[in-house]
Amino acid sequence: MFAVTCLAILVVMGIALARAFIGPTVYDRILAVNMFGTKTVLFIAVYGFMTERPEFMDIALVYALINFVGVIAVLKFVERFPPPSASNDE
Amino acid sequence: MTFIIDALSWVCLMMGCFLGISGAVGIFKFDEFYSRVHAASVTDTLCVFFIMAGLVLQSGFTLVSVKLIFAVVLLWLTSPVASHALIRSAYHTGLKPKLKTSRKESAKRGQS
Amino acid sequence: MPYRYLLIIGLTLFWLLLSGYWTNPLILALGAASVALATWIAMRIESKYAFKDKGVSILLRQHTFWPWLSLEIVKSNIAVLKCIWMPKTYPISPIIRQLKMEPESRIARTLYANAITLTPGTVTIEVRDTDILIYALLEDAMEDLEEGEMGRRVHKLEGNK
Repeated sequence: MFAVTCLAILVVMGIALARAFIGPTVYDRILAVNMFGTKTVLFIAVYGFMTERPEFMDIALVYALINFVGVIAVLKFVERFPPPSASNDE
Repeated sequence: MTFIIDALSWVCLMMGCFLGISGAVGIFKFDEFYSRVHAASVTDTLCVFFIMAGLVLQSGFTLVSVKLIFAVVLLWLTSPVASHALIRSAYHTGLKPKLKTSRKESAKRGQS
Repeated sequence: MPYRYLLIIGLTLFWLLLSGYWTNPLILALGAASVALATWIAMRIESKYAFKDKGVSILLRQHTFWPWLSLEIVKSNIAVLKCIWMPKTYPISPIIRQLKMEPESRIARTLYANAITLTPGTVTIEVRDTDILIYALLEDAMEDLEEGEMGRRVHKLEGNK
């Protein structure tokens, strides 16, 4: 049953990546990457259970924190230097 | 007993998968950035909770399930901060949301 | 200062539960060093933005707030799910409105804004003093917030009846 869950999370990650590629504004991309990061945490946890190595949870925890810090850092950068296309196309 | 726990965690994991996929569909389907934030927040709250609950049921009363609960708490604390920062900087750089104004609301806006 | 002791206890528990090695002296010493470093950094923040004693009493009263918030999260999740899968029958009606909020202390306002963002369907855009700018996906969700159940509950956490 972990394999089914893994597959579903991979599908979600794929769709999030597609949104990150086509997303019209830069914020869409950041949102999609944030969601991708959350799903990566879940994926690492489920994969650890699938291969019966639950120590993977440590990596998942660290990934959750790094994902948060990374998103905030990118947002700070974007807010200070807004890309020219951020405001006018929707 | 193990059968009941297995069934319960199976249900939890499937619920989590369904919520995750609907969040992904929402992030693709909504036609505007501000609506997509809501679709992503569906996956950030209950999807995480259900998948982690399914894993906790599998692992039982060990240190691993403590770590799983920590992961849920951390994600629930950080994801609203991240989405607030995201939507705030989008709003401040002048990305205009598409609003559907009801009659009551447009009357109010006429005053202000 | 209760906040410092609370932080030290919490960080120590966090380290012990995450590491799982409770007898190895080297790892325990490293844990003590990490807790000391983190507390020192937090105290540097504390000297500029003090975490008042009110904050500690808020932490003690969380037990009624979280079950209620979880129920709200489930309800609003269902509402947003309906909008995603059946957009024809449940059309979205995005709306932005500025509301007054009841909670006064900084930690209660942070808690309130985070609780609003955590429930799907509503997102806090900006907090200025006691005004809060909210974007909601559905008009119903916004009306629920205007009705003020959540604000009252957070206000009660501060110790006011």
